[in-house]
Amino acid sequence: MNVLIIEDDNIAATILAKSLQTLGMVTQIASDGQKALVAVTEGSFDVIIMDRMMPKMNGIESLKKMRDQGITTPVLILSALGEVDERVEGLEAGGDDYLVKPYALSELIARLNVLYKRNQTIYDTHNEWLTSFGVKLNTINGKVFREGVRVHLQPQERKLLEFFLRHADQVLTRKILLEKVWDFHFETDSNLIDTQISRLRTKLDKPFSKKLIHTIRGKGYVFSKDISLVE
Amino acid sequence: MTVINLFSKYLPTSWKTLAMRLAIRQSMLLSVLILVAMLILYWLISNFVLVQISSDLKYSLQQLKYIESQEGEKGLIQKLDALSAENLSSEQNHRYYLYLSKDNKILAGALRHWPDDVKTNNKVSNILFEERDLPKEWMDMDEGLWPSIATGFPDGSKLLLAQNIETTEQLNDFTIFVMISLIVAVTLISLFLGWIQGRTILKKIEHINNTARNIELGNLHQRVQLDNPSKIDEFDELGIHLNKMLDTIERLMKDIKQVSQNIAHDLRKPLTRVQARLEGLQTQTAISSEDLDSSLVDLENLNKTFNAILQLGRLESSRPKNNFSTVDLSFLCESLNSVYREMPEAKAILWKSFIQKNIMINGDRQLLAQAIINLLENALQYTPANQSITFSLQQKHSGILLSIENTGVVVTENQLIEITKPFVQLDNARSRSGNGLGLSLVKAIFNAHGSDLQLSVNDQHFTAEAIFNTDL
Repeated sequence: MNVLIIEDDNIAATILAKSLQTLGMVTQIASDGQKALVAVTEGSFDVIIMDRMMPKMNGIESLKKMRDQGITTPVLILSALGEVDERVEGLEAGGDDYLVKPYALSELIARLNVLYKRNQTIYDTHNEWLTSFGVKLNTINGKVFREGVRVHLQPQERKLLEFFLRHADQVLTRKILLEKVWDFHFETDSNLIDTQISRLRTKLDKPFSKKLIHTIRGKGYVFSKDISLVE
Repeated sequence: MTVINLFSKYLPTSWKTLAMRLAIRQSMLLSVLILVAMLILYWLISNFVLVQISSDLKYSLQQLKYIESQEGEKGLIQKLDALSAENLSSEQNHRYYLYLSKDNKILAGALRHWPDDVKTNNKVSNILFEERDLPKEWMDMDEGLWPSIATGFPDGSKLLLAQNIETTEQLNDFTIFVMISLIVAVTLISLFLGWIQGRTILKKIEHINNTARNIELGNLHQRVQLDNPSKIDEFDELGIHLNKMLDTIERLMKDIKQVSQNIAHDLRKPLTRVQARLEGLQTQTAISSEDLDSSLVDLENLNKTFNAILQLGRLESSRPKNNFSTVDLSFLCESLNSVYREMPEAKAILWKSFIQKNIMINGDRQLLAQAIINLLENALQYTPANQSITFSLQQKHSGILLSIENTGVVVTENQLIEITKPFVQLDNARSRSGNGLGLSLVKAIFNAHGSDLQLSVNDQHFTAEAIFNTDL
């Protein structure tokens, strides 16, 4: 994965770049919004990590310019500004995801993966049926089948499964799931997601021989046929 | 009033106060009013006297004219002589006559000369009598304006009547003297009364001022002294309100101090642990991932506490109304309810729910969800096995009632007030996770939605509820 890190804090940018490189990603650092615009036109990136408050040109301005230039690379805004208004502003400027500093590295990596894969599967969203590992979900009427057997799910569980299907083989953190399934953008110690997963498992995994929903301790959940293929 | 302002420069300080100025202004105004009233009275009295004199003169002239017409010149002369004699004997209200023949010979009367201004038009007018006009016995008298009337007879003779108004003038002089004395007395008395009034008010205010000065100097315990608790006037009332306000301020300051201390404590504790672990790692050759993990957990919790403090601060300082939109509260509650009743902790608890459909509210979905989750988490945490949790959302007359009740809770009435304060955790909860900001956040969120978190406990039955206005 080719990642452009736009960050004016040199130390933070370097540490982040090193961490991403150990995971096999290729990184480049731009220290302000203007340099980012140059970097984006010169190189090609899979994901952009964008800070908001930077000298010369701030992240929002830079992001708007990129989008105006027709650059559709997914952008993850990484900022110390975490209020609802600020989040909305970032997403309206063309950001695809928003993570508030300080953040956990595993959280950032999970989100980068979600953005990267989303980029590759974007053309499949028009398909009525999402299919993965023998699980079929109709995005119009919400019917779910596994190996031809109808599975009855509640609306929130269906939303959870849909997100799993769209991001199969990816580690999804509780935070990501809370945001995407529940649209909850606040911190909570609630076991909401864990309980939901356990219910989804009872309905989707238990009656069948093969387990599809896996827990990765300290990180999150993966929807996969074979956990050893992930990571 | 500008006069007062002008003089206020030279007045003692106490006279420059509003109370004194008002009192003086009032007495001045009173004096002016009395002066005006007296002037009007004076004018009315003198006018009345003049009118009396004037009609008297007219009447006399009529009579004399009648005598002249009946008895002729001789009769009139006789009458005039008689009147003059009468005039001499009387002490006051002298009337003088002058009866001139056609060729200006004096026929009768005490006046010696016909003044130039006199017209024989049968009308009363004020005529200036000079020395040469006046009778001999009045030579020492000042010349003056006397009301006079004159008439001409068909034979060319003419008659003049003039009234000496010396006594009237004396009366006027006396009236003026009395008036001036009265006004001076009234002014002095009212100034004195005003001064007393001002001083009484100043004394009252001085108490409050002294207290304020003391508080300015940092002595927050100072309170306004109240003279007599049985006789409460508006100044005492002001004092009572100020005292209450000061009580509240002092309590809030104490709270803030407590909260800052708690913040420091809650942030320092994990920081100390992280530092200790990192230092420990420095001395070790092999890095233990357990230490690293727990340090990361500590840092994460630190971050959560930090964010919660920030959010609480934002919620308490500003109303997030600009993020408000229509929220399907029924759907939100039902979704949460369906998950929460399945939680492992809920398995041993009797879970009840009454969630009415299609209840909409104008609010911030994120905040409302956060508040409801907080309350549900609390209920789960503090409800022992075999007890119950009731989650309900209903449209009532008074508004939308959101309530979460649980039984088997050991909380006293006094603790209820405490637990919504930041960082306050009851002893039995200290050991568990959480930063003690949960209920403070819930309260702040409900407040931002024009409602309040109401907690009550009745025989181990704990209720947390909020009523939202539908027309919010």
